[in-house]
Amino acid sequence: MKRKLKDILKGPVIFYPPLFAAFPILFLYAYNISETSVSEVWLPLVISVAAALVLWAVLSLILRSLAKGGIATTVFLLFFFSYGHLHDILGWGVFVPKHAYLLSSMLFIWGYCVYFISRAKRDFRIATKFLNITAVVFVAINLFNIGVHQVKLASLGDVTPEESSEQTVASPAELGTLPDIYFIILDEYAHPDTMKEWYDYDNSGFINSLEDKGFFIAYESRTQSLHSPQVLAQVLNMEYLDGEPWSESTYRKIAYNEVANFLKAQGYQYIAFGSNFARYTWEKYAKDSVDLYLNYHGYNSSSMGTEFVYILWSTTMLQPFYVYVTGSQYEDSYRCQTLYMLEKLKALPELEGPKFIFAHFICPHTPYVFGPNGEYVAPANWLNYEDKQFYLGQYIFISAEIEKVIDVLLDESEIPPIIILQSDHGQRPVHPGLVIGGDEWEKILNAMYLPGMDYDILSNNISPVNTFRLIFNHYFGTDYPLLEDDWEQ
Amino acid sequence: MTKRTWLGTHKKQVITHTSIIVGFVLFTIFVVEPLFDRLEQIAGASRLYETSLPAVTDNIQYSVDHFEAAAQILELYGWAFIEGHDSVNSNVYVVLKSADRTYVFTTETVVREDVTQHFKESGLNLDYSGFSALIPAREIASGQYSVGIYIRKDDIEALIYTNKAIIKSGDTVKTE
Repeated sequence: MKRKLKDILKGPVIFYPPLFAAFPILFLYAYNISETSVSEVWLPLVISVAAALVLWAVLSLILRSLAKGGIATTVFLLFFFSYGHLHDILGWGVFVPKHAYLLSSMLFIWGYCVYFISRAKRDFRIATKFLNITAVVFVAINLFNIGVHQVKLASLGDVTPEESSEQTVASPAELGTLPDIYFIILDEYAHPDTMKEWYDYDNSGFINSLEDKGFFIAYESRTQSLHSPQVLAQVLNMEYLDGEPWSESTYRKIAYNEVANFLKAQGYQYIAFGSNFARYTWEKYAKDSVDLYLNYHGYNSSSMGTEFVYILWSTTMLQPFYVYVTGSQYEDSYRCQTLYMLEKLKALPELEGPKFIFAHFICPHTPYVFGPNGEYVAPANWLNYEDKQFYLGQYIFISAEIEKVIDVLLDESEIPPIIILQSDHGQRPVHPGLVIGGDEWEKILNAMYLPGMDYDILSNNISPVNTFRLIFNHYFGTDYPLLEDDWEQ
Repeated sequence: MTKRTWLGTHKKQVITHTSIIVGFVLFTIFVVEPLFDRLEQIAGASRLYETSLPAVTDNIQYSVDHFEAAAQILELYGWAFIEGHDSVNSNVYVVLKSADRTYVFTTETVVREDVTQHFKESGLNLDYSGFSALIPAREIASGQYSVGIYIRKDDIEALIYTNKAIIKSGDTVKTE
């Protein structure tokens, strides 16, 4: 027995299999580092390395050589982590390969590789050295990139949210008289004019209904950025920002925003809805800044539902089993998240005390998972930009549902609430197959329900950045100057 | 002395490996593929429903708002109700009928207050008349099928065939 073990262990030092198991995960993390929390990486990293070690040990025992076991393990890792890419590449051709055939074929080929490795009459000394060096280089490059990012992040400093605004409130109101404030963002919700011109769809029913309920519609309002984080950071901090839109500093500005700080200082609860978008951007800071964080997935829940895990999962041989393991498709989680938000919003008027609610719907943004009445959409159409009926269906659905939410908020709130309904940007001409005007993304829906406000003083082209300046000046007696509406970066 | 060919000297290995490959192909076709078909579920997919259909009653009011073949899935939705009856507690099914086969599929209920509004003079609650169906092509055999709607409400049954049809061929489905 001892001799057998000695035979297995003899040969060059080998440490590359666990490094090759870690490499794809580190690479994916390093590539998406500004959109991924490190907490999402640990679990897949540990599982991958542990599984590779177990496989290596088993194969070494079967093949009676640590070196042969290492090479067989590495070939498996190569197949395992390239499966999704191969499936996609083959799908670009004339047919989409069935998982049943592709996965079993790859496992079969790997089985033959193991067979040939077992029959080889060499000790793989040179191959082992080469693989050791390659694995170290691959891992080191990614660790370096991750380290550089962490240093940059640390240099941003531990700036904690400012507790109160510089502005002083003219006459602090009694808590019992303060209105709830709902800030609802519909991602990629096109302006009614865009819908008329490019979709041949008349959305005036929805707009007229809002006006009938007492909303002011800023028909000429435009956004200054087609990047959601930048728009959210600008509106929530009441100023134009020209930094990198997809960066940690922008995410921090969303989480520790000036509007929430001001309102919290007035006695408001800050309630925010998370989403798949929030999960990989500002959610990691949310727990420090939000009184109540509502996410269908939740930052304390399993990390199975994150985009990082989904992308990683999709590249591996586990791709066909995602639904079976997680219980739902990733795209379906958008559907669940949207329905969850719609229901939760309707229940919020029951909560005691003044509240500031920030709800960002990733809708009608892709994936297109709702028909016009909430019907299910086939997976082949989830990203179908070319056939406009799918965006239109989701657009009609979310418009109708938001109208129902607004009816409940107006009916159930004891004090008439303030409701801001905005799109972060219109439909962007960046999607494959989508035919739409180049500047349609600038035109947005900007609807505001401001009880007691004289709408005649409001400008038709008011910038979303001025939304809360206007509200704070009117309802809290602050003195924020309104910024130029047509700022350009 | 006779010279043996490569095939002659490796006859045993050739037979062994050929058997392994053939065994793998058969295993994949007959075991792996059906297994994977079960694993690759999609949200909102319709399921086959075992039932015996009544004769055509033609007393269903319906509209198929969307009818499209999306790769390997037939996607359709709309609304339907039995004339003179409200839609509370009613279940809508999609029927696919060819010359020699009939399939019945479940649908997801969709709230359609607009249908109630449209037929407001009838005084019926038709809020639950909406349906949504994603029918996987793999569930049906190749052939040409008429599309029907079957509704069951308590003890009442109704069946109608629409003017829609599909052709299933290979793994895909096409609308006519």
